[in-house]
Amino acid sequence: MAEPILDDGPRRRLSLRDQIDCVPVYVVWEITLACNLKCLHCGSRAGHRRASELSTDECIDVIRQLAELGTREISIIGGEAFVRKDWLTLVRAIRDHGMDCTMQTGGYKLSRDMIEAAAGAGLLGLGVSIDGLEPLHDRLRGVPGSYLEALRVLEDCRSAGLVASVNTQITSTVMPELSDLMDVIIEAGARYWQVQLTVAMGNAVDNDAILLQPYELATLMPLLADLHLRGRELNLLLLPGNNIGYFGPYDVLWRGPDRGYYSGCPAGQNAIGLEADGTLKGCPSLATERYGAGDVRNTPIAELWATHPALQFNRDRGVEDLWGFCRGCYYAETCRGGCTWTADSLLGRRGNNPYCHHRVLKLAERGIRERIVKVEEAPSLPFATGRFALLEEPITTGIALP
Amino acid sequence: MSERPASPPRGRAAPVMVLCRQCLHYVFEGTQVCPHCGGDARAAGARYRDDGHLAIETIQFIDRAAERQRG
Repeated sequence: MAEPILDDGPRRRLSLRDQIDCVPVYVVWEITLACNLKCLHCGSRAGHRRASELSTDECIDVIRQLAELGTREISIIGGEAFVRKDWLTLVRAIRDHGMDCTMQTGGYKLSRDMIEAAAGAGLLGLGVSIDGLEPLHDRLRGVPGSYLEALRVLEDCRSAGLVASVNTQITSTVMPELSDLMDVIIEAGARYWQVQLTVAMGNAVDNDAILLQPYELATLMPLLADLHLRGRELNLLLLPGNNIGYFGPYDVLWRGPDRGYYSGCPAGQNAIGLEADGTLKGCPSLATERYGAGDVRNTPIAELWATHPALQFNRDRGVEDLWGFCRGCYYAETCRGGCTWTADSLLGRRGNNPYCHHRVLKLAERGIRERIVKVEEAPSLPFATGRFALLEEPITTGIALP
Repeated sequence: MSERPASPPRGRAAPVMVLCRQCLHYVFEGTQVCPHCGGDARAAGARYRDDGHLAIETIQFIDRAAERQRG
């Protein structure tokens, strides 16, 4: 599974009207589940294509419907999106319907000719996943040589005039490498760098040692702040994914007033996720079992979007839907527990998210930190979740305070 | 495929947050005393002015007012 967000440019920025009218501004579309990598953290357990993926004609009808609903950007992902033979046709159709098109990729076997063809078809940006320096990246991605291929893709993007971005999964071992990684991707031509915490879903549940502990945000966030400031001087914009938050002392850097503060998870309110077989969700990463909202083959997207209960959960969500620490948080009404995917996948219920810098610092004031422990494995299905227990324990070592 | 017209969905907008002009943490619009630093959230401090936040938030205030007027 590729990461869904490339950057947060103006067309994707949400207005008050977008929020109230539930405009599906941003769509992330898994156009195939086939993939040529074997990532240890893959939430969708990608590899083989789904049994009944949408045909080209069905995809073009989906594009038409999304344009009518007011979608401004579609990001195509996989699996590995370019494994699908008609991917350039879909890119062109998205642009012909007046929407921006971006793509997220692992980059493995994405040739220069393909990149140039994508630029010609109207692709606006390519996000390449790089999860550490070469040994770590290749281990996490499960294919030797995938790191060097990803860097080569960044350089080919530059040659083709395509905006290149890098997505990095924040796992338990990557922190010491982030500074060197930033230098590498700048040299390779990246303009944006989005970081996202690895979420307890699919393969990441099987390999739970790669998951960051919530209390490690106390170390991570000052590091990201330093990198953000250094990146600005070097023409690289470090951006937070939806699960990097929330309202901590560094939010002003990456979600400052000029970019918009964190206004709650957009899943099902201003974002749509589509699986390759036509299953509609509020976010591409949410557990299909709990958040699948029907099949676009059988029901118009506008009808599903307006009426399906599995898409409604964020639209009128208030503090009463939160629990645990989040329920009593100062920011509860705005933040609404942050990333639905992160909390729901981890604890089996949305609305209480331990991966929050504000929360980590508040707990630290009381001498407490939180740790996750796996208590239930995830089934061998795409977007399957296990179960983790959330434990509080006394802090016995120092914690980084701003 | 069904042709039943769907009624337009409605969502809740997030409350307006602004920066505390002393410590640059977010606070709810209208907050006088910052719950984070205890300072006057509305009085522009040095970091707030020097980092350009005053100009940015002024533009946002105008944008929000225009949006409200449009309904």
